[in-house]
Amino acid sequence: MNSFKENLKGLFLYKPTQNYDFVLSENNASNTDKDIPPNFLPDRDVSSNLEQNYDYLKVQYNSLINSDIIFRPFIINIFGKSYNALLLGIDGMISSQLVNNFLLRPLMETNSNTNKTHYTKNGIEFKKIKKANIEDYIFDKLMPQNTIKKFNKFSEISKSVNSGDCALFVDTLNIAFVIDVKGFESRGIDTPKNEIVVRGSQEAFVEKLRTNTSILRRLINSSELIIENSSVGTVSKTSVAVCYMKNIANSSLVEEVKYRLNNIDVDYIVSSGNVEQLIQDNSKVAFPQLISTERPDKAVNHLLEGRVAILVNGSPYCLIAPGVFIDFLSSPEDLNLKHQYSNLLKVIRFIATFISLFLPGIYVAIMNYHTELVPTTLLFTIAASRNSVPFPVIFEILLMEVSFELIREAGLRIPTPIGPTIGIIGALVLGEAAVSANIVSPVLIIIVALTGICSFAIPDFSLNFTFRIYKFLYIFLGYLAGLFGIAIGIFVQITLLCNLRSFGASYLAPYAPLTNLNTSISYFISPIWKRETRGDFLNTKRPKEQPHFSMKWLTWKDKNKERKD
Amino acid sequence: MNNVEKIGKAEVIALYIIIISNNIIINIPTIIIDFTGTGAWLNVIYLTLICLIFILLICKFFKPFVNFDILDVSEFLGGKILKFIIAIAYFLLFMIFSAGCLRYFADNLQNIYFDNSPLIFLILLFIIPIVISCRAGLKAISSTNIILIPITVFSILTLFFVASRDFVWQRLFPVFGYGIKETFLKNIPNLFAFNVVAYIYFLKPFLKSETYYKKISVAAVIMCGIYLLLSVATLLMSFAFITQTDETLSIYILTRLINLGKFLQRVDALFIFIWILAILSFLSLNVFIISHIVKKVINAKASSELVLPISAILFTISLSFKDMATLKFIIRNIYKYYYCILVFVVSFFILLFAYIKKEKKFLKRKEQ
Repeated sequence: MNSFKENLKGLFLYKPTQNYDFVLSENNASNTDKDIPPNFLPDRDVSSNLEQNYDYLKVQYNSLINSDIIFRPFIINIFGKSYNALLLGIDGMISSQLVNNFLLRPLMETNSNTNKTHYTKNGIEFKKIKKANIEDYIFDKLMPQNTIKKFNKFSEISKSVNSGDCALFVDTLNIAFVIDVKGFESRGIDTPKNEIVVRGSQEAFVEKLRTNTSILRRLINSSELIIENSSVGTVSKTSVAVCYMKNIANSSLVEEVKYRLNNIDVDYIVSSGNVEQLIQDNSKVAFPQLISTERPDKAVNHLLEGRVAILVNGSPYCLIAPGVFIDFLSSPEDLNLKHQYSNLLKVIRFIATFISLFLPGIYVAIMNYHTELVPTTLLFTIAASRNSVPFPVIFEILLMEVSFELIREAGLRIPTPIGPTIGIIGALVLGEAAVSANIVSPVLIIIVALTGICSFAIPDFSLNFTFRIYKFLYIFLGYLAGLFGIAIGIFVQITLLCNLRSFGASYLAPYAPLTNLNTSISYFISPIWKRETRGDFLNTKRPKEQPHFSMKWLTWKDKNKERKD
Repeated sequence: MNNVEKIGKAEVIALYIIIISNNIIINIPTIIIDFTGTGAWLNVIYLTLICLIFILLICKFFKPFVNFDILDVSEFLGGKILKFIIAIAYFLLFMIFSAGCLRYFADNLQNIYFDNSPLIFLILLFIIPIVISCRAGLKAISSTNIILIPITVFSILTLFFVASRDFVWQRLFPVFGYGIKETFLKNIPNLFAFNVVAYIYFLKPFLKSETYYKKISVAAVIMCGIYLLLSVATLLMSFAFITQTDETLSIYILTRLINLGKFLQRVDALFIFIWILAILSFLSLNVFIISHIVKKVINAKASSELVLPISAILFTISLSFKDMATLKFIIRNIYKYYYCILVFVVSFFILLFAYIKKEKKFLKRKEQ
């Protein structure tokens, strides 16, 4: 009865609107903070007054609202005097064990050392008070850490603190000690997920920059390996490491990479993909212009070829510059196998590349303009299969290609447990049902499936994407003017690729312009003992990779034989 | 001249090969056969020797002119007026030949595959990639050539070898065709088939090193001679020379003879596909050279800005030929002689006199 009354009341009584109405302005220009710099607080030098530093840091780190910022004031006793000190760190980024045992304990313990020395002269006892240098004393005697830096700018201090270090401020000192006590959790080194090889290293890069640089160091046992650090992003200040072999890589190339990285003016960088897009030569071209790899062995191989590697903190992918077209058709497996096996794989991959790019376009062209190319018997079969299909070839192929792309995309995004479902649905939609419903012909299913399979044989993820885009262009050109249209497309594409450069290297090197092909960088590889020189297009400091006779044991054997004879 | 893009030895050779290959694709061997009959192959050998002598002399005369093309040499000899006249002459030469090629090939393409498509549409489809390619510059054109050359040469050589099954050796006789006079004297203007010489006059400043200029030029003429000989001989031995193949590309008719078993009976479309790429590359080179000529005459900073108007002129001229008969008449009766006079007489004498002038200057300086 009560509920009935309530409902009746609800019908006639006024009810204030209860819609939750939160709207953000769609116009960015309406914001007034356009001119606000990325850092709200102007940068300042460290003051010798600890109170002032403390106040500055409180504002800088928004200590009233930030929950993970640790300010630990304490007192240091040096030479019998007490000094106020402050330790700054971020909870979760620093290791509490390290801070407690190896930082706070030595600093807070009573120091018995004094700066007074006693000596007697002519029977009279003298006391000599040495001038106390607290800064040196703390640095030399109170901090048993291997990595300590002294900074006097707050911007530099906050950069280090944000990356997991802690800062020590001491009253009367106008510098801060930045101590490496990183202790944040990170993923351990795992196997590569996207560049799988049968024979070869099973290590992959991780998100932590220092781990990645250490992997490179471990694999290249040379002091010539240079790892230079810089940061990108005015807000995020993402650490980026530029790695190269000092005695191999072309200095201009290294300078160019550093120049481009240092001149990126963006607020933030979250992955190596962002950096890639910001430093590539031509952003209008869909082709990838930097190699991206998760494999340290591949990165090392490129470093030793004379290229430059870029590691970005937070990204398990390494960028390598310059990247030329054949690099994207090469698999890391190629160098682990005998050249005969690799070259066979390369031939197969080349065919796969050709098919994935051109087959749908050629099919449309042949069906519309050049049916005479198809052998008569096959033509009859195709004609019979298309007899009941009401659509033109172009519609048929676009329908199936778009469906295939949809299934591919859905397969990637779908949660793993229901992943196989999409495969089953895809197979049913693309295969059986479409043919049974006379929407497409069986021959077209073969064409689309073959194109799809071949696209998976392209080793590089970005190049695969590029070909997926251009495939649709060639379908259109094939429909527009048959093989003539496709020829035009190929010509334009080759010309544009010939005009494209990646960090000064021609994109189609070493084939166009034609340079020495008997190097370590060419599509078809020669036996390992024949790869005497580095790629011409890299213009390295050490063009020779190995001597003419690299297998010296062969010549020694002959000499021993001669001796025996 | 210092700001031009330089290209390497392999790229220049590739450019010459594409020029030579296109001579075959656009039926130049048929024109030689038409004028000399079965004596065409002897005529080609004879012309190759003449051309070789010419090219050796051209290289010798060009030697003191570092980074000079024929326009710079003309300026050196006769000032800006002579340079302007020669530039106009070469502009017309390249423009007419390019427009003729474009129209001839597009017309044939229309006849073979695109009966229902208007010619203007086909020519426009050719013009677009040419513009893109030329704007990219000579380096891009030559690099593209490097990639296209293997398949172009392979297609032509395959054609010769496959067609050799149907060769009738007796068709080479009578050896002197229409007569000794026709073979060796009257048809010297068939030298126009060696159109590579015109490019030799212009490509010198683009070479990375001039040391191989002579070698490449001689090699280009020899290659041109061999290609022409092969194509002329193939056409002669495949068809009775009286057979008129004027209506379509002769080389296309050869592809119709190919029969690779019962399965692949018609592969002519694949050959046409490759030749379209070759023609595009050749026309891009021509448009680039025309832009280069215009750039030099009007003292423009870059030739890339001139590509679009020049392509528009090319498009217009190629459409302005009334019909194929007019085009053939122009090529066989006007262009042929115009080419020989300009390239083998006028330019040659300009070079000769410029060489003498330079030598005199050099001697004078030595005496001082």
